Amino acid sequence: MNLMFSTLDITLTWWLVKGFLVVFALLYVLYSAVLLGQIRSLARTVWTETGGFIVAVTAAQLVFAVITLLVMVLYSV
Amino acid sequence: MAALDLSTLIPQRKALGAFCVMPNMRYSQQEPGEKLLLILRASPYTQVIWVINSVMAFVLLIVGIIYLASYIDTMALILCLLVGLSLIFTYSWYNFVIWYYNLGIISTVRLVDIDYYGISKRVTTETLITKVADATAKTTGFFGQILNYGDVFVVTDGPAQNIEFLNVPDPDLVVSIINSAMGAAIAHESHV
Repeated sequence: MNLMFSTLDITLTWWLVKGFLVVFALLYVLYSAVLLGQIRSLARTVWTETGGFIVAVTAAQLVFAVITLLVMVLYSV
Repeated sequence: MAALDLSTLIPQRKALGAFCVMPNMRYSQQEPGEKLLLILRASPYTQVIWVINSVMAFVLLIVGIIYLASYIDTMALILCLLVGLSLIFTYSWYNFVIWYYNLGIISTVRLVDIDYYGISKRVTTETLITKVADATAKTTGFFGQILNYGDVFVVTDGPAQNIEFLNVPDPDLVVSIINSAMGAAIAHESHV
């Protein structure tokens, strides 16, 4: 009986961890997309020499977030 | 503070871009003939804490990964690295962007204060330079005195909102440039 509960606990915990990782990655993608939109809007309002670089890095962050989400999903299924 | 002669200003970039005189920048509302005199950001000294936090978190992550390498499998290690790196990068980039786009703009026509509070809030306050009634520099605290940064408060006539440039480098010089721009704009108006 104890062994069964213990196995159930481990399985449940493992699924919680996987769920957390996917939700985390999903939120990261959403956050990066919103930030990119904001930065593009700011870069249009105030044009600076390094504004393009900042937009590019924020776009790279979004790409990284999508890759993270894919890795998390592949790992979880 | 005595007013400066604006014609003596030369393009310069100080304090890692926190204090740019005659910068190579454009503002979306900029009119033809309007020149940007000064771009202000918070002094880099006020940003030290998040930089130290980021470096420490990165070092801790690397140490943690090296320690965990002998206990967990490679895939779990990659996941830990991805989560850690994304958290650290997000934290540091978010702080950098907030610093970079929290701008004060002083031109020959207007003062603009862009306050960027993150992904959910942005406030832009703008007033004509001819409506400025008073500009005050305030340097407080030990580090402010030593490292020469402080706040500039600009009071405007009428119902227009007041403008604040917080923790900017060399606040006395900022006030001096505002006064000069104000004097030049009023003189230009009276000639027209």
